[in-house]
Amino acid sequence: MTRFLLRNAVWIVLLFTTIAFVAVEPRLLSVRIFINVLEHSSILGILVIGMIFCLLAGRFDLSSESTLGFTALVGAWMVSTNPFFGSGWQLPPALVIVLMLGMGAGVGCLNSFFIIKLRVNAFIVTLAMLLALRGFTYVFTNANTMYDLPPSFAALGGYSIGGLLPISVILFLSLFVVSQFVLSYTTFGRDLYAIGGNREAAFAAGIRVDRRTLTAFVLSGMLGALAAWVLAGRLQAVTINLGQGMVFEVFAAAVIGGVSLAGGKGTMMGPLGGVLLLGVITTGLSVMPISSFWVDAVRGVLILAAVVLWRVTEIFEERWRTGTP
Amino acid sequence: MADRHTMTPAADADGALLRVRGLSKRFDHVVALDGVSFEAHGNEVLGLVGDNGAGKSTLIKLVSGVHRPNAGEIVFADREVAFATPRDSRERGIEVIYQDMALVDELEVWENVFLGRLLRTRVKTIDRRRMIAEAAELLESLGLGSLSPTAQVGYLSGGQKKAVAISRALYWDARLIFMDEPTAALAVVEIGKVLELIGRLRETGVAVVFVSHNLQEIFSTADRIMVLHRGQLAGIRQTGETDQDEIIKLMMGVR
Amino acid sequence: MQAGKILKHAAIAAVLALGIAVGGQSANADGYKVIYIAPQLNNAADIVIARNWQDVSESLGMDAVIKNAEISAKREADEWATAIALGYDAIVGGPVDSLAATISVKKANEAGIPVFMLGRTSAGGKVELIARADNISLGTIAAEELVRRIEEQRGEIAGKVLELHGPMDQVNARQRSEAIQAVLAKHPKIELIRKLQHWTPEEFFDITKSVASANELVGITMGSDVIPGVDAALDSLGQLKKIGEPGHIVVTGIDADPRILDLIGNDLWDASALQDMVGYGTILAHYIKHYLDGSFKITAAGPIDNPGAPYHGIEARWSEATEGWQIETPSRPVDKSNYTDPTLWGNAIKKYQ
Ligand SMILES: Nc1ncnc2c1ncn2[C@@H]1O[C@H](COP(=O)(O)OP(=O)(O)OP(=O)(O)O)[C@@H](O)[C@H]1O
Ligand SMILES: [Mg+2]
Repeated sequence: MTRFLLRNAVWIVLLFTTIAFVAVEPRLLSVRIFINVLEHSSILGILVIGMIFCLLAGRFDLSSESTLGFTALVGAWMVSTNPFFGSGWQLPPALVIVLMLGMGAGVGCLNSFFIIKLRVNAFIVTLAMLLALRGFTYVFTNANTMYDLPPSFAALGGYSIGGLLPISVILFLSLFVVSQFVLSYTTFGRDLYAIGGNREAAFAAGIRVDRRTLTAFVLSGMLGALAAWVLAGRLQAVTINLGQGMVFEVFAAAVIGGVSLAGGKGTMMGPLGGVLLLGVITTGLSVMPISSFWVDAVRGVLILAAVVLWRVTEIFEERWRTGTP
Repeated sequence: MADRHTMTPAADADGALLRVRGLSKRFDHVVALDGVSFEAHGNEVLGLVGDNGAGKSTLIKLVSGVHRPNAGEIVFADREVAFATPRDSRERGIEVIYQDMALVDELEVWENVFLGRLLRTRVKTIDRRRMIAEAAELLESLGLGSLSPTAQVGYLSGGQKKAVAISRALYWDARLIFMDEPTAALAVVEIGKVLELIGRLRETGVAVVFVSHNLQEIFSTADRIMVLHRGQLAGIRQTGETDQDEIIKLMMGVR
Repeated sequence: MQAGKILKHAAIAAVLALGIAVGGQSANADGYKVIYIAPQLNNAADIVIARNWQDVSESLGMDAVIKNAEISAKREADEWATAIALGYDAIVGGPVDSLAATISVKKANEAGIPVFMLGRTSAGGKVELIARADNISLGTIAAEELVRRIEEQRGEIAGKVLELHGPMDQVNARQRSEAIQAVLAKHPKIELIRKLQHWTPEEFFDITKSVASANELVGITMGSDVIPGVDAALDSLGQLKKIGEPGHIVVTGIDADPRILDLIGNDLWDASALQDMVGYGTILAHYIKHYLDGSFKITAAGPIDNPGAPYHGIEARWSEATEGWQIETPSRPVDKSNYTDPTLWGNAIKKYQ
């Protein structure tokens, strides 16, 4: 029981944070706001899933936010019906979506080519990729905002069932369930833990380390593209700075959710709690009548507190396990 | 495919399961292995000895596909092989208990036992329940019934970890098993168990290559003893036709 | 779009994105070498400011180079240091961080290179001329248009208004926001909900959606409408109604982004206070040329007197902090009556496509 509580500390923190916010601002207690939190969390959540695949394998993917920005912009550019700012091609949305996912996969392949074949540090590779993709976005768009997206393209991000429940929320929650299943019940998932835990042992035991790592990066890239599609539809427009700076929240959610940055340790469900916690903090702060001057500070402090709290529960778990007071 | 219940380990017609010719390996300027040739047979324990850094582990890793040799040929079960990865050698029936790259601390015992070859259900999900049960059975048969298959490996003692590594090699009915210092860091009773196990493996027809720094262990288990000195083969002797003094001299490079 | 155009885009973009100086190889062999260190080039407005300034400068025979500080004060300081070392005839800034940039400006002063500011300014150092939009005017017009249209829509000036304002350490964001607050404070029945954003569409969307979910809004205004998200958020709540329809939430912005012009055309956006970046970039380019030629310098406060120059008649004011002159081009409202005006930057930018 103690162990269960400690392992799921992020959910308990989420519960108490929510209660605290609602106590201060009762208007937060509404279905609408609840759904806003989920909707806000969906983009971050999709990126976090990709990051966790890489983190479990003992690698980083810093490029997923720019994969998001790049594929969103290029996709919107290809599909836009605007006579001035689009490509003018007005490609069919279904084709564009396939192309976007393909580009995401391509970025993942490139990342893993440099990391696996050329053995460049993952941090450097994906950081360079982040910068390169940001640069390339100019090529396609002249730094313009892309808009006039066809409704069918925008549906995934923009449509809500009954005008209330966005399909992006259903998508993101199902992705978490599916990916948790992948981690727990497929050889791919289990192999990631082995690779992140001890790459040499995994290799010696016959795990195809390179192939698994490649798959993790490709998944991360494709999830970046999927998030791009959702976000483009939601905003009905794409700017060149889309997704910029999200990598910080992606890491924060993963760490709060108990994923080890050293690899081999973590689940999907913990970070889901982390994602929702960040969502509650962001949404809560935007509804609460708190002075604008304080928003950034409060946000930063709350995130820091969550990370520290995670570490504290880890220490407690260790103590509990070893019986040391 | 080395499936546990289909493969019957058997020695080849002429007796040599593994034939190695002129195997060499360089790491930058260090010559770890220099033109080593030997044979390993089914129904036989080959003791492998040599000083620290003599090239014993390197030899094993070259055969199992962890490293690629710079020169030399490896014939396994009458076919020339060049394993690109340990996965390939495992598929052909070669298991290795590595000295230094064996286990994943974050994972539980059962998963380490089945590492790289997780059992799957009909719908291709991993068969956790079956693997836990089989791991328990395996540990029991090795006299390690007290070790829970769901214990996290990182928290096990050095000897227990060794036992897990041994279990993995044993689960798959291999034709050739390399044991790189399986008795190091073990208590006397445990060492006895491992030596006994090696004896039993020989009876089932497996070829065992056994590395140890303890010559007594080598002499009590090995049929033949192979000595490496600074990457070169110093000699191979029938256990009955040699003594510790000769082996030590070979190890020290004294002729 | 044909291949040639894509190539052209690629070339321009590569130059902008990578910040490669092309001025050195330009045909203006004996022209002045001038450089604009842009705070960022990641939206249409910043691109228009930079490109228009560059076009006009080159048409006046100067070598005009653009560098991108990518919203990094550190990067900006490096670019300034390089520009000083290369000995440009004039440096034009538009600081990411007004305080940090002051140090760079002082270094340029020491090196004897005249400094000008485009769009934004440093907090100190000696700056010959600041040319920018009048932020007070921008904020005032955005708020006045909002109030006027709320009255038209609702019959009274009352209800909750959301203001999406930028970080208060940015001079432009603060001045615009203060002007908006000053106007709205005159209407006691207006309840102002101020929310901080950092110019990202995700924030514009999320904040608008959250606030509009928890409150019944009558109006929304913002520090810049270059960033999308507000209309999409209202749309997703089923609250994006045409002007005049019951339940329409009045929306006014600042800058008049091209996308906003289209929304205005579709009656989905009420008005925007124009930031005339084409205007002040043109003015600055001409002034720099005259300044370097020694043919004209501002010497007194009040309307500038240099007939024929595009800055003729514009009010010059002394800026204490930057020990130099500044001119602020006034804003004007853009709405359904004038959104197709080709001199609006949102329409002018189409020629760069
Ligand atoms: N991956 C490697 N990279 C570089 N040098 C290596 C590598 N592996 C082994 N060596 C070197 O090769 C030589 C042989 O090492 P090896 O591990 O095979 O010795 P060993 O006989 O197993 O020794 P020990 O009894 O200490 O385990 C040593 O000099 C070692 O430093
Ligand atoms: Mg060794």
